[in-house]
Amino acid sequence: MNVQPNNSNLATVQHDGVAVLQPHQPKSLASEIFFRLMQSRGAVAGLLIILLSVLMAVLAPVLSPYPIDQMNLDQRLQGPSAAHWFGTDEFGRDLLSRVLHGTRISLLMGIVSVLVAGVIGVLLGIVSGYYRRLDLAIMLVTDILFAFPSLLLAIAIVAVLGVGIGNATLAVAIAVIPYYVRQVRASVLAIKEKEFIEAVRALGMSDAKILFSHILPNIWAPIIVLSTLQFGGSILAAAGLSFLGLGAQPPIPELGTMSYVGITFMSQAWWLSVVPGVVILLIVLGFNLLGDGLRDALDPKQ
Amino acid sequence: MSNYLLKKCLSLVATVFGVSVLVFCMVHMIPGDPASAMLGQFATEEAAQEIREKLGLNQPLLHQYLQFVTHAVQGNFGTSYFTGLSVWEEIVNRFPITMQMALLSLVISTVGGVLLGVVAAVKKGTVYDFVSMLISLIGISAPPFWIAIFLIWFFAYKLSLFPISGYNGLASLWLPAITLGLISASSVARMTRSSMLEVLNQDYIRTARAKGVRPSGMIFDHALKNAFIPVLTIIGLQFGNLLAGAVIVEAVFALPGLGTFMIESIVKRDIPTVQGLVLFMTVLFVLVNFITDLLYGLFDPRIKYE
Repeated sequence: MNVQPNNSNLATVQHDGVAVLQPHQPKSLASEIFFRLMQSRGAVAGLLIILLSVLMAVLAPVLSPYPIDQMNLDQRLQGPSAAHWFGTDEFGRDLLSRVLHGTRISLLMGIVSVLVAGVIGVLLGIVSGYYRRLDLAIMLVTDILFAFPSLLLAIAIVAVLGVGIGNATLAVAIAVIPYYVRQVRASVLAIKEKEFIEAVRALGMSDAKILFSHILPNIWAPIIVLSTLQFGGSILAAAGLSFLGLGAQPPIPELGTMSYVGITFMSQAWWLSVVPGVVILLIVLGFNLLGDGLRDALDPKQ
Repeated sequence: MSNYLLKKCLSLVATVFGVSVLVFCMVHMIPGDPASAMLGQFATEEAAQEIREKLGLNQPLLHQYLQFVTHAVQGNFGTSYFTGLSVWEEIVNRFPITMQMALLSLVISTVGGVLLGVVAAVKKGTVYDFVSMLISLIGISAPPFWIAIFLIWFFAYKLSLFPISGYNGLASLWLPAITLGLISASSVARMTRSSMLEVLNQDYIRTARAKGVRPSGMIFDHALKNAFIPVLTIIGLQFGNLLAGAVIVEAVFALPGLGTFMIESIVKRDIPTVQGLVLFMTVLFVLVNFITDLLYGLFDPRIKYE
């Protein structure tokens, strides 16, 4: 670390290429980044939205006023009221309860696809950046996958694997993998030439140890930013697939599926389509706000 | 031909080749036996055998691939074994709807996105900046179907300005095009803003301002022209999103374009048709990005082709 004096009582600290403005008492890098993140109003709003939606998802069974499949044909297509905050659907089921469970499903599809894509993509990216021989093959496939519009790729994968909530999640994951590979590979290429990597290599450290205890900890920042933004993108894509009838099937209370069914009843009950859509919009907005904030907080240029 | 152009052409050929291999492999990646999977629950051994014969699934792989490519190049994606119609004919019939919609939304997104981005960058930190960035943030976060549903509800039901669904000429394409246009305008606006901010900090902008260039001239001739290459790249990439997004938007508006054809074929497990459509749309996307690359020279004379 080299600390340069500054004209204020702040100092610019170079830490692994990340310049951080910090007050004089030394703090950890993580708490520094958190501090900067909290200064961005957008990021705080994003974080709050995400926390709220996670809370809704986890507590869905407790918060739901009615069972998700309780039909009541006398109460079909009722508008929002005290008994049914978001109204009822074409079978008289409570929309609020279904939206709460839908939030759970959307977040789960997002988590699973980002995790699957992240693990596979990071591994492939590291290998591709570190071993020249495998680089060519991995990048060839990645470039070809990039040639497809990503939602079209996900649709094509569902066409092959078959329709369903699991296959849709997997399809979204596969479509996201190339983004991780390209990002991680670029980071690895940049850090591989650094002296400290040369030093540990000279000390005879094994490749696996270099990769996981020296390279990976130094490239996590862009991975976190990418994951946050992809989280929103994956939820959007998964809901899109379900909307098209390629993901979750009725009567599963998935937000995209619910929106599609609602179109039929738009003239009588606009809330059936609009409410699930707004929930998706808010969740994705939360992740995009947080992702933008994280990118700025972790940006070495600032 | 210059090195640059030659390299771009070679990479175009390589990409199209790679895409064709991957699309060809689709039918072989179906879990289990492709023929019975395509038939679904009504599979009988004879029917499966018939499909294998028809699709040449019992031929050697290389032979199958060569046949796939020769047919694709001739515009012969085979006949759908469900409808008996030629897939190519179907694509040709439906393509104008999707393409008109995509082009219309490309215009909306380019004009709208660049304007929003320029305003946000020039008025950085003001309420204009905040509002444009809020709009574009909502645009990239909203599900396309939600925007479409909202527009239908407002413009078609409440105001009765546009038809609700189905296709009768250009009037039916406005709402779908606005839906897709809003979404890609958001990405374009974000990129324009950050690219413009970078350029506006350059010395030559200060020089231009100092020598008294009109603000509009400065923004559009000096700044935007130099900031445009990353924006152009995003616009090219947006075309892919427009084609894929068309699948969703066509479903909302019940437009008989390529997207609805794709979904119908997937539901029927008509994989050869899906292959034809995916290949067609992806090659179109690759070509658009190739053209975008060539357009760079218009905005940056330092990129020379001779």
